[in-house]
Amino acid sequence: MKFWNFIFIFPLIIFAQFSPGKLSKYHQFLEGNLNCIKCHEIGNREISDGCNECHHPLKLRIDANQGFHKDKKEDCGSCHSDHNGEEFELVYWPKDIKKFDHSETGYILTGEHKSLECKNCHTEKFIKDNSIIDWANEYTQFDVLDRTFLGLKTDCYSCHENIHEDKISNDCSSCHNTDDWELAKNEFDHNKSQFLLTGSHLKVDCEKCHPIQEKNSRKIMQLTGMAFENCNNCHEDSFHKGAYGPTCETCHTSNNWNEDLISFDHSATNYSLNGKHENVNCNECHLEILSGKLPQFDQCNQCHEDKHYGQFENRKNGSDCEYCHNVNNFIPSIFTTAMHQLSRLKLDGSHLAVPCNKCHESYSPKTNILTTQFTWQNYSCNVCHNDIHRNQFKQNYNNDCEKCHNTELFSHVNFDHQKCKFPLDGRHKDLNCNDCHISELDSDGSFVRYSPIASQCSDCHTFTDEIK
Amino acid sequence: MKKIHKIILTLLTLGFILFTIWIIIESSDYLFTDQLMRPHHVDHKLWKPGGMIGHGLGILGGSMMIIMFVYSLRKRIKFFRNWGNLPTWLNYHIFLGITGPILVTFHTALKFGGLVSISYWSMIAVALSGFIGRYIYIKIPHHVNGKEITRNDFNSKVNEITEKFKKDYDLSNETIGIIYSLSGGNQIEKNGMWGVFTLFFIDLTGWFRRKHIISVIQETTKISNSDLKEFQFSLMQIVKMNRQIAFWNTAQKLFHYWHVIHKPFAYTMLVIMFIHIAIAVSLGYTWIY
Repeated sequence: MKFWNFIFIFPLIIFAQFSPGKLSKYHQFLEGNLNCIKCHEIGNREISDGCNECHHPLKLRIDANQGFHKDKKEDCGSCHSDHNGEEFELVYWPKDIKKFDHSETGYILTGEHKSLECKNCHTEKFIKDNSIIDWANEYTQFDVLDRTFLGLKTDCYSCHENIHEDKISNDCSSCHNTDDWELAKNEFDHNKSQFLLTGSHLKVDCEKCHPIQEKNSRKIMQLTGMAFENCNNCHEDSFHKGAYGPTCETCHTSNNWNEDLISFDHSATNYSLNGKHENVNCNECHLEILSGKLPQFDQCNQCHEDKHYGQFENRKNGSDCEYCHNVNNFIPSIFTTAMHQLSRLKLDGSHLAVPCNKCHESYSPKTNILTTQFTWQNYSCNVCHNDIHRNQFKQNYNNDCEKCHNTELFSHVNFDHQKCKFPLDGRHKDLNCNDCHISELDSDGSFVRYSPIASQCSDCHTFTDEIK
Repeated sequence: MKKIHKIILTLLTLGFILFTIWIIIESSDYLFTDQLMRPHHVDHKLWKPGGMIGHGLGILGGSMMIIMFVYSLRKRIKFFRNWGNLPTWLNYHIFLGITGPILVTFHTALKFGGLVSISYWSMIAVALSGFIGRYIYIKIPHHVNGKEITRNDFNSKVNEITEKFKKDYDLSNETIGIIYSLSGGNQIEKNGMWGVFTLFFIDLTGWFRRKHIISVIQETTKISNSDLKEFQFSLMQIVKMNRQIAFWNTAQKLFHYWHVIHKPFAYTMLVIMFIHIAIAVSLGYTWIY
């Protein structure tokens, strides 16, 4: 080596020896004494500013108080020591990397994420942040994108394919969790959708409404584009055949299609349900429900059987059941004593005190039918009362009891003897009735003889010998 | 050397040995860790060259190496000529020259690279050459004050002692010749510059040789047991002096060459050490300050 060459080259050799050790292979471009101050600041041992010159994506996160380094703003070298040789790894994991507390990064690993290898997520293909990609391209020749922990986003689509093709909300956690991705149905609050799940719909498997489609060899549940405006979008109206239109919900609820129809506002129809009708099952009236033919409701007997078997068909008020009954109860009737006075048989005297069923007894208008009798062919007293006079007044009075009796008291006889064939006069006026009308016996027992009765004096009186 | 300096040096040496033992115990785990793993060692911040202890050892060791140069000042500069006894200074110089490199070695954490490694290896070279220099130095006869004895004076002194020894124990010229022969002086002188190795070999085997020489010479004369100890001392003094005379020329030449090696290494060490310190301080590595 010539002297002058040595003079010029020696300082360079000396300069090249200032470094306390070779830089990591990732920092080789910083080798050389003229590069010292690219990292080191004169008079300042702290080199973080120098690091940030290149590692500005990390600085941005630190400044934003994000990520693992958010509280490690200073003294990068305390963890990422350099000048330890080319093969020295600048990122070192003091403990088993699997024990790393990922919550320190601000992103807590939960569920299945906890069992993943770092590389499963922290890999180039998931880096969506272009600033990181640009940084890697500009600052290093190494494949750092497969080593960096930057560049991932916390949204699920950063790593997971959106098989729903942006047709639904990007908030995966509204349906899925990290414990079991497939158990989305347990997480999803369907009531946040446009279709609220109620009643029996809550028990239905998702697939029943959301069919599984196969796309690119993947099974995907159809979550959008579902028709749900009308029930018959899913439910076939095989029962009514569309007779009631598409608005099933006017009669049905989702709780129980066949039984739970109480939600139907019957008052919106021409026939309000009141009283006992409120508790009647729909199909008890809507007998032709299959065809959708509505029942007639002008007359009660259009639904109800005539328990009186036509007894009131010919009465003055017609057969209108509401005259005696209302929808609250069939029994007791709303028929009152006052209304009875308007009937063919006005109640007076002792009749007012007689219980209804004393007169209105059970009878059998037809074979095998038993009902209460309310009408009779005639309303003479003997329809109810026995003729204790053994038909003695048939001939003269046509058995008209009222000729002698009234309803006040049967024993209260109001007979005008003067109008009969044997007017009373003289001392006959002072006699008691039974002095002449004496009891007799027949096969049914005793009875008082009124007619025919002997009207000759000797029939009562006995002639003395003197008169004879 | 004054007693006080002996005590001081003894205490310093003992203190340093204890300190070194403590350093070895505390730092061994770190120092035996692979270089690539050291930065992750729990004690890295203590024992790395820029660490709390490592840096301190560097400052202490470096300071010792600088203080060591006071000996050179005392030796060469007129102003310091009255500052104490030169051999005493040399003893401190040797103490610092041994302990300083040991501390600096721990400061390096056994990681030798970069410019400063030149300083380190220069320091090691200086230290090792110091051992050699010291070996050669003690072979050249000196006065108590450190001044070299003239050859004539030394020869006269050797003759005087030999004559007295010959007379005291009634030895023949033949016996004296045997003593010269057994001292190995001829071989040392004959081997010229390589005679240093001959001398070194003789010194290494000194105990066996001493025994052999004493037994051979004792056979030629009758020495009472009461005189035996003094006889042996005088005999070995004559043997040693003969070796010194035989090695004198070589020693002077070697000592001249030794200075040529020892001093440049020392200056190289010092210059690069200052550069190293300047760079470290300029980059903010100021230890606890």
